[in-house]
Amino acid sequence: MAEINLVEIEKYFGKNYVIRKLNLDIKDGEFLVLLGPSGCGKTTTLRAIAGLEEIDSGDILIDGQPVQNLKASDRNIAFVFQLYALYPHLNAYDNIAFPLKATKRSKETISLRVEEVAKVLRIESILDKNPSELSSGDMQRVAVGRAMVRRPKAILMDEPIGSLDAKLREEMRTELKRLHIEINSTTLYVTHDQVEAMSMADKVAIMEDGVLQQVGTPAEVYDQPANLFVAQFVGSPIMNILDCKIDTDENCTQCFLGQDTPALPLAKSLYDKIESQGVPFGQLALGVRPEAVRLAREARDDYIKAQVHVIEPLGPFDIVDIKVENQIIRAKAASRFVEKPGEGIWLQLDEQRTHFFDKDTGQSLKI
Amino acid sequence: MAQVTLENLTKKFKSVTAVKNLSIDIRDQEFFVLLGPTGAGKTTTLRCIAGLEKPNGGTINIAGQNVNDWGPAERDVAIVFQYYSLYPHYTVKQNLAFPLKSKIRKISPEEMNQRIAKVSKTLQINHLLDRKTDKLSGGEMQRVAIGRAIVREPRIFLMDEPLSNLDAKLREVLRSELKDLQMNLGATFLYVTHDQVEAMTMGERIGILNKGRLIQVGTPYDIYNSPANTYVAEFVGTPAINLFDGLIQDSRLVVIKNDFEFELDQKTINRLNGVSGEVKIGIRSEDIEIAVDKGTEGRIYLVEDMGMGKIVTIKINDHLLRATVDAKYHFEIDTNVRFQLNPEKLHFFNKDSGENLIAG
Repeated sequence: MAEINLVEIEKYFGKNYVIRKLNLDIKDGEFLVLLGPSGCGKTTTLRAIAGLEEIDSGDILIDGQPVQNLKASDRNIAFVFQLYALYPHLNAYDNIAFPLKATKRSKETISLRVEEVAKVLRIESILDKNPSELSSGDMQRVAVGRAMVRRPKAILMDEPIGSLDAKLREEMRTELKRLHIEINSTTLYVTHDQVEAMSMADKVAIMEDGVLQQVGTPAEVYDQPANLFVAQFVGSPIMNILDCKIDTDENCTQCFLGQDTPALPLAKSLYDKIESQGVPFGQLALGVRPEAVRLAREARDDYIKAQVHVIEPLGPFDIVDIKVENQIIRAKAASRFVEKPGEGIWLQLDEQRTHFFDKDTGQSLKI
Repeated sequence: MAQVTLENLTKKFKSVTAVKNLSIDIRDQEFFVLLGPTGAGKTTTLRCIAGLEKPNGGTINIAGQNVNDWGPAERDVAIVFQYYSLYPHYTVKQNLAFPLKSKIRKISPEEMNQRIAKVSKTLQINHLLDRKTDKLSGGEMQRVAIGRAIVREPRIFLMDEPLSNLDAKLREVLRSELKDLQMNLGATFLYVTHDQVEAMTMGERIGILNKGRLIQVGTPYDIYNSPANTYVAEFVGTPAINLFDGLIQDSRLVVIKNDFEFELDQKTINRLNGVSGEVKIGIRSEDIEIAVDKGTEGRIYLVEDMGMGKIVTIKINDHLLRATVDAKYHFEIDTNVRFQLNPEKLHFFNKDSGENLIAG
């Protein structure tokens, strides 16, 4: 398959600056998920690569060749809209053969191509079946097979599983990811659902208002978010973003979550690291994910006292909303660790997983 | 007091029975969630309670009184819909005032202003009072829609999927706010949704509907840990519960086709209370322990890094099992791994009806 490079792409819809100097690389065989909220420009970007939208400036390269002036049909890219959109009256073989029948290739060539694709996708045994007889995983493979049969350089997918029910979405994610591992196709997948992105991506590219916020592996964007937007968009339950005041004494860095609340002691070196970034202390926000908040039912050294506000049972664990003066911190807790709202609780933060952000720019202080 | 009691509520639309003999007791000041997929009958139930639909059978009691023949206004319930039609060319303040101008409820202008001030403070929309509602964000519009219900100070709030049009982040934020709001108002909330996360995190009790019938009522912990049947077990929890066919031999050994088998511990044998033969077995992903020294061997089919944890899909011949593990562990796909199922967390269901075979 091919590598795709987007170089300084710009796109306007009238006065709306929808894609703002986008630079993005998709390596050969990579599964890249373009993730962002509605209206961020991700679908427009996908359509620009496919040739369904024109760009105003920049280059779209496929295997090093600029394609922005080529028609969609000449770019040799397959677009998979919805994984269930198979022709119901045709069997799997004919569904896959369909795009080739239009190109007037000989029966033998078509047969060879379909068999080749079916072998790669491991669906040789179901070629004679109708879509109604197929499992969801097999249907998905047939849909991808139909995309693959013209030997495209890349596959593009635009929110293909969003309309399915939760259980089916889970199954499709597993099958799609497994399929990608087996066939190693260059894939660009667009979604607003961060669960899909985390589950399937080799790399996630997060977009907001036409601007790329961060590109990285799922682990990277989760553990080291570049800014407040990424920090709060990726991961569920959401990261806590809290106001804090930093001070220092001989032993440690003091982190105050409220005026009348005792400090949370953090490593002494942290104060200098934060200071050296040059961000005024009044502009600091602290980010910590619910699973990085430690809880205790009794007083403990270095823990601060707070009150349980709301308990949110998720099933395998609870999220406990805790009131610290005027702020709420949500913490992950074992199911029924905390019994009811109003209880006293003690908390501490896992320093290794605590982030600091500049509230004004949103940028993470890389500490 | 604002309890709502439904007894054998039935509602048909031509040949379709949307709600069948539904009986529920919603307690005063309870946050009760009606959960089910599209078409389960939840919105119809809500509309019957509101007085917007006339039932074909059964009774609806509000605060102990039969309201079957009462109109919506007399029932004193407030509804927040999924598509909250705010008046777009009116300001937020005017939208909030509108329900108070009804001829049935005589409210003085001072009282009206007081209520609007209180509600807008609670919902943090006081800075938006003079803005036209078509200039609001999704979350702001949602708050105004809820505010419009609160100003009426009804006994009961009915909410029909009010968050489903909002993005994931906003839904999470508003869930906590709604729960907090309900506690502060001390009102009875009947909340309808297809989203099991909303139901679990907000409901004091959840009623699960399927095709017009009530399947189970319980706290989130009850529903999650003791599902009445496979339908409930599969509906609640992410990833979905692992379900597979099994055979219990001599009440102590579980055999899954020819793929794997394991002995049950005494506690589980006691729980089973003599159940034997073909069953459906359920185990949640967090109750599968992997990379242990003993146990069944399988092959790692897939690893999904979700951030907080990883979902590892294990293949044993034709079976795929999903296990969740802490994010710090690393697994290579297409390698072998040993796993064990936590026997205390095994669910046993009737293989045909799906009913939970273990009581309570």
